[in-house]
Amino acid sequence: MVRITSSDSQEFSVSQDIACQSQLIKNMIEDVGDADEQPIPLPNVAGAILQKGGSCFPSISNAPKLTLFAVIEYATMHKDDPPSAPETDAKPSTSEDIEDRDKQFLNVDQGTLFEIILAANYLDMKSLLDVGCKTVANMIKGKTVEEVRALFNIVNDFTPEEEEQIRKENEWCEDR
Amino acid sequence: MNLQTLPFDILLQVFSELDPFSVLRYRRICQRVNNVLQSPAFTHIISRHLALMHVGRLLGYRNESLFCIVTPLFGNDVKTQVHAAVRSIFNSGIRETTGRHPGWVGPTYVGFELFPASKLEIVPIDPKVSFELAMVPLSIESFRFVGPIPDTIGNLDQMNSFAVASNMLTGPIPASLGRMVQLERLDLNHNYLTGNIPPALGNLIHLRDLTLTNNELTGPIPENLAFAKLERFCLGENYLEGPIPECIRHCVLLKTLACGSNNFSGCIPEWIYGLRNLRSLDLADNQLNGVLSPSIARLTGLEDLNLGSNMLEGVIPSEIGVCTSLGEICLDHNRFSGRIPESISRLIPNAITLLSDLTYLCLENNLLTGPIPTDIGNLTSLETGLRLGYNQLSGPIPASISALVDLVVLDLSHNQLNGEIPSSITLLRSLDYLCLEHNFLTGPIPTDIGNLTYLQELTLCYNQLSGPIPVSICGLASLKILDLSHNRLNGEIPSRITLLRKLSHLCLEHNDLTGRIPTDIGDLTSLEKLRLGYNQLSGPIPASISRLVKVKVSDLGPNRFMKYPSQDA
Repeated sequence: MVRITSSDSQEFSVSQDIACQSQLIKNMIEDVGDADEQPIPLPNVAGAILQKGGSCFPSISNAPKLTLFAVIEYATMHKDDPPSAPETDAKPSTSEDIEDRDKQFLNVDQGTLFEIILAANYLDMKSLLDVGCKTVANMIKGKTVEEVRALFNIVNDFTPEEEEQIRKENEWCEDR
Repeated sequence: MNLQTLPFDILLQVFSELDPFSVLRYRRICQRVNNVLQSPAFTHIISRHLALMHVGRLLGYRNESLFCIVTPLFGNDVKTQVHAAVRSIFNSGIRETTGRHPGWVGPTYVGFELFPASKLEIVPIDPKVSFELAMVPLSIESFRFVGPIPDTIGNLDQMNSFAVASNMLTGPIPASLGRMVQLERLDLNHNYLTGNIPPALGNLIHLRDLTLTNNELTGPIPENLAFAKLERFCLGENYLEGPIPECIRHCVLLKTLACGSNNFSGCIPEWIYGLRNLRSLDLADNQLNGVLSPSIARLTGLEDLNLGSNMLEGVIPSEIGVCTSLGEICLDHNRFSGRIPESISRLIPNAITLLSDLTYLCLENNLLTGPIPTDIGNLTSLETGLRLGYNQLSGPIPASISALVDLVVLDLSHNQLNGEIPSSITLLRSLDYLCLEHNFLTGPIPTDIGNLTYLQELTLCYNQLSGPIPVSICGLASLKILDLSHNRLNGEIPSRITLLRKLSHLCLEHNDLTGRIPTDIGDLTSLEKLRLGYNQLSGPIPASISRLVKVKVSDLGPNRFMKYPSQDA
């Protein structure tokens, strides 16, 4: 078992094969040697907030999932996956090919989704990062610029002149 | 946490999941996204994508579809640009046929249809498959690529073959091709590519086949093209110039070096004879000077040697007789002098290997002197042709020539050959062309000339032949050109000559022929040229002559005709 602590000092104990889906943790264990001795600190990943449906921190109950816990949940779900094929043999990835269980897993609010992506990025978990980015891409796909702004609450910070200039430059792909 | 606050790398990944051909429209979302989509890193990611744009059709017997190769980086208004480019290609009068070698049949089409710019479809292709395979899902039987090769093609660095021969690609060869380092085959044969050969191609160290033949490339061959694995190096039929660069000596596995029909100059470099694996050497139709070195003997595997139409001089080295694999020798249209080396007649079928036999020997249009080697008949594998015309060869036609029974073309014209035509020449039953004109040949035309039943062209003019026209000539049903003029032939024109219905040229002028013009001369309806002047012909001119409607050149006098036919005969 490996002990991991989050930025808010929550400690998690997970089996080594699950923890090592994070390239970061794997490298750390290899560097430290014996993983049992002391917990691995992950100062960049917020820890226990709330488990989906749980209620240990009711004060932030509108955040339905805790990041590190969620990441561990994902790693547990995928612990039996075959090692990913080398890049060269892989079929060109498309944002279509997300497994149903991952779709379900990432069916969360935007804030959590972004936190998970950031955590995956920090922990160096390529498959989770990929599926997270694909999920965001799917949210954008097929939408107009205005719809994307509305969906993600983005303020248009261009001057009208700047925006018109870009629109002109991209005329050829606007209608697709 | 918000989308635009995500780190740059993550935004990069999110947007690279979207359709590369439309993703740039999201630049307008906000400055942050615009910065990501305009970054060099993102440009690099989407430049790995190519697509095909179905721009129109060639209207011909196959109605081929026309596709442009496009990339997301074509940027502004790609459809209008591509549309205009394709239109200008066709409006500029694309060559109907290309290639300076006769017999090459170019693309045949009667017109083209260009789809309206607004209707053009972009079909992304999988960058990991070849272009040919990319077309399969489109279920299009025949197609051509048209327009320029995008410079970002080099990003497809996993391809090991880029073969797009016989298309309508225009513009330069992108230097970025030098980044496709896995390439083993680069075949751009027969397109409309212009500009120089980019030196960057020198990076393609795995190349086995580099074919740039039949384009409009200019400038010299870059001096860094040294490919250790290259077996075929074909640059023919361009407008390349300068010397044959020394870098090629490092292509030690080279089997085929084809630089013909360019403007290369300088000598044939001595190191070329060190390319031990060479089987085919084509430097024809350039401006090469100097000599053919005796070192040619080192190229023992050589099967084709084509140095025709240059300015080479000196003797043909007798060492050529060591290259026993030679199947074709073309040294025509040069300034070679001296004798035809006797050793050439030792290039006989190699009984041990039987790899290749000499089928074609072309030395015409040089300054060769002396006799035709007496043992020329040893070359029994000669088939395509024996062409020694336009030299200064003297002496008789060797009787041994009758052993070349598979020979299709025998051209010894425009020399100083004397003596009689060996009667055994009628054993050459495969002959289509027998050309002995402009020599000093004497004696009769062999009586059995009619045995050469495939003969299409028999030109014996400008000799000193005597005796009658053999009647057997009337059996040469395939004959199209019969020119016996400017000799001393006598007797009558065989009346059954009118059976030669394919005859287009009948030239018997300047002889001593007597008697009448055959009555049925009008049966020779294919006749375009009829010359019978300067003979002793007499009698009436047959009325049937008026049926010879195709005749453009007609010369019947001076003779002793009684009258010319009236126009209404």
